[in-house]
Amino acid sequence: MELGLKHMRSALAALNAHAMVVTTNAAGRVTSVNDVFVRTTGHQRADVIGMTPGFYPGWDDAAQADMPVWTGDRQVVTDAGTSLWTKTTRIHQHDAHGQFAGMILIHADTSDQRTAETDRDAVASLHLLSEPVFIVAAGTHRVVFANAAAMTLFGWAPDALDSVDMASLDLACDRGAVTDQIARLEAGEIDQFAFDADYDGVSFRADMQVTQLPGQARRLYVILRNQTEVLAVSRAKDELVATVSHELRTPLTSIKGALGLIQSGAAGPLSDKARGLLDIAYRNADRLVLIVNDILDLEKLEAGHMDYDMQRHDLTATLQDAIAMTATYAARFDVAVNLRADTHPAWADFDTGRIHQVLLNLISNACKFSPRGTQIDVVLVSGGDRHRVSVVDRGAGIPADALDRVFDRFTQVGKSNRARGGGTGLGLSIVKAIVESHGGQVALESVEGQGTSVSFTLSRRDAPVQAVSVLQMSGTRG
Amino acid sequence: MTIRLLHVEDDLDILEIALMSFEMAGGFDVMQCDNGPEALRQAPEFRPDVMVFDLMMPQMSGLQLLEAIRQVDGFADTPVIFMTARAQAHESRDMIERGARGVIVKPFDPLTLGDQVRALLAAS
Repeated sequence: MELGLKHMRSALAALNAHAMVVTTNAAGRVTSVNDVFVRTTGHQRADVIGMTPGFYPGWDDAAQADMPVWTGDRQVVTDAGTSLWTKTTRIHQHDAHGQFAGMILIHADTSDQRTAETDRDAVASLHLLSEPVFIVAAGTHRVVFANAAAMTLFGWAPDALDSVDMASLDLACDRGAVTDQIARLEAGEIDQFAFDADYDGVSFRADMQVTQLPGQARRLYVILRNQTEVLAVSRAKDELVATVSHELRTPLTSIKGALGLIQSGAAGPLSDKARGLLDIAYRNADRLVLIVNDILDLEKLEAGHMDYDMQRHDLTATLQDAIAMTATYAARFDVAVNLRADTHPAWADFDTGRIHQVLLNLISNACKFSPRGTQIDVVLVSGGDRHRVSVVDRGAGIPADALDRVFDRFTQVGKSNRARGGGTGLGLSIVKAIVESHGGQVALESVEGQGTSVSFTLSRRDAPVQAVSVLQMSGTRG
Repeated sequence: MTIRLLHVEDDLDILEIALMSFEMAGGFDVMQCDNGPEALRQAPEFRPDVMVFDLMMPQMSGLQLLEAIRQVDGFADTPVIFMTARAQAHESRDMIERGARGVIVKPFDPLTLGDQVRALLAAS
């Protein structure tokens, strides 16, 4: 008997040394926890004894009450809120009368084992990916892992990966820019970046990201996405848009040309009625050209293929040009367009053709929505690091519930629009895309019955070197 | 001085409108062809001062015509202007890089077509 008790005490001592042990009373409240539990979970005895065991997620003793002995996997939540996976044995205790008196729960921490299993699963999954993935150590750029696709692509042997230096990869890319970005990544200035690279005649989009697990060195993850199909689809779409655009413009060339020649009197004198009808036909041919141009522009913008010739220009001069170009159009609607600029010159980097396109769009929109005899203000305000250009009309305004969709494609607000010369409903989408491509922002404010103001911003720049020298020379001359 | 102009364009309506435009502008002696091979045959006899090519034509594209005409004796430097609806910035750049004097975008303005050609010729 004495020997038996001694064995039991020894067994309990051994258990206490290696496993977490929790006891509860018949009501399911904790009556004791051992030192291993306190050490492993961080919970203090005073916090858990007498309480229902909140450290067991989904604790439901009633569901297991008819199982006197149960063994399985159970999570234990630590004081820090992290979860430990444990192999758990739960034994019911009974009193001298055979009544249920509580439970003993014995937990062996299996988190490391589960983590290792999860890691093995993750690595196996990475090897199954069709996209090449590899990981290099930050700083040395030595490869520490490559999935099967990456090893096949680059011809790496699994047992010789650590001798591969990422710099030795024969990737055709902008190496200077990529090196700079990697330096920024490793300095913690950015979390990730992407670049285009060709390898062995195949185009890839490479995503690079830095990660660091607790207690481990930082690593750079590289995923290569094959762009062959993406590029082929993009090229086919570009070709289709260009061809459709060409096929539409060719008959329009004949229509507009013929109408223009008749209007000019090349085919003989015209009655006023005939001239009026020709004007309508000519304007609508123009509209068709605009629609084709807008669709082509929007496709280019969406595909990121819009060409920009970014040069330093005086924004005030561009505003003056745009107002002059829209003078005839404004006269048709009997509205006057005024420039109010607080800065001259107002230097900024932009593509004049595209910013003209933005301004013509905004001013022609304002003309269409302005009552006859009213004024449109084109306002330039330069403050801080930005120029802000606003085109302000005194038209009917836009209903509040339509404001959030004015920049959507094919959105036309107001019934009078089409009747007054119409548009494609693409204009503001194009304006927004062009301005954002210049690093600026577009905003619209409108009050029904009072008017609308559409504004965009461009970054302020210093005068170009040539202009500075001219100004200095002027100054010297006095 | 009259400018001898060879215009190559596969769309007959556009040929007619362009011809009227040049006549209206005055000062042009115009020969027109509706395909590249015909232009190659006619050019040596006509001896144009400037050639205006459409870009997209079925038998021979405008760019192929440009390459071919450069091989013809006496046409190494004759100014070529493309008149096309395919005139995105990169397309225009490509045409200039291949030796075109300039690009007129379709739809063109029939009232100023002659002026546009003269301006491109003057901007050598």
